[in-house]
Amino acid sequence: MKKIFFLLLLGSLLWSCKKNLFDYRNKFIGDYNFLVHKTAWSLSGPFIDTTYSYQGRIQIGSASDKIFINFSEITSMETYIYEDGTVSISFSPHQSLIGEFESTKALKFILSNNGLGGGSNYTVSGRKK
Amino acid sequence: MIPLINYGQEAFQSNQSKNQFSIQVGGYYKTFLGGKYIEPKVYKNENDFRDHQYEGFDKFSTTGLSAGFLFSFRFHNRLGITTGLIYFLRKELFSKNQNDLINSGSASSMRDIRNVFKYDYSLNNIEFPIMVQHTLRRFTFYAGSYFAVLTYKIAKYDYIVYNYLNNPPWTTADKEINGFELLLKLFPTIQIGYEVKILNNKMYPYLAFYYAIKNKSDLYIQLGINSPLSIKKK
Repeated sequence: MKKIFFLLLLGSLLWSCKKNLFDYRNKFIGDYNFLVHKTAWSLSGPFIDTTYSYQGRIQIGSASDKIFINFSEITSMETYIYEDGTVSISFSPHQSLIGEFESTKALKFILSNNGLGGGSNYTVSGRKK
Repeated sequence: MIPLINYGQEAFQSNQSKNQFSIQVGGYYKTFLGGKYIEPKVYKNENDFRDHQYEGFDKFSTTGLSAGFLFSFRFHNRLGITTGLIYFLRKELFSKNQNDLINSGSASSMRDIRNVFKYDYSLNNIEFPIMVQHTLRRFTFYAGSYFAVLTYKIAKYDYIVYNYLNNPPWTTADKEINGFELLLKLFPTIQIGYEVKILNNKMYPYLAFYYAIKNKSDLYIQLGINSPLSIKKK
């Protein structure tokens, strides 16, 4: 009985490890200070060029190879993350995110969203708190 | 006579005829079955890249080491089960000619994983062996598997990075990303030990072969020594 209990305990521990404790994404997640440079344009409106900082968060994503990056009050992107810290995702030919974790504590990426009538670009750098 | 190895672990000796703790230390050379070039394959979409990232690369032989404790339980005069806890440093090295990457024009201006021309991994594994052992005179034969559970992975990446304003328009860069990861890999093994006496202590130099199931052609050839934690009765 003790052996079965031990095996069950070990199995559940490994299962929980697989889901959380030793996931390769864990080294990148946490609270970050983001510095965001945003430019936006549209045919009907003014050109926007602004820089702001935001205290955001990087979290585990909805799939085993994704993370959420919350880098502004209204913007949270989900992107693929590769083992070397590369982040990239392409939503359409006009909308993509590409960047990298330079270390487990520092991230930079560019989010582009450009169409015929307007667009926006975010150049973002983040540092783990 | 005082034995050379006397760990004073009386508890281990409670049933010396059946149970045996030992220390095992070894060094390995990793080679490959088949060629070292990893053939590129066609993949369906961008998201499959993770499964194909070493294609087009050469893999290289490496060396490493292992050390840890084994516990053997003999349930028959000659037969037994061996398990334990082993630290295993397994290294992996993949590289391609950086000119292939430069000439392909596929690399970007960011340090993207598609720009990598060299992967250098040191996997500091915690592994559990489970082996059946059979003793025949002074030989002990083992067959089973090492189960690698957890690793502290030290990963070094060498990249091409494009800057189209420069001449030449590319430079190289490198990056290191380290951290704990769950491995869950099996390394089937066979091992042959031979009993010798060194300063009146039994030692078992051994030769072992490991095969990596996930990296299908990796073959580890290991030499080492197994030293029982035994106390001689005075």
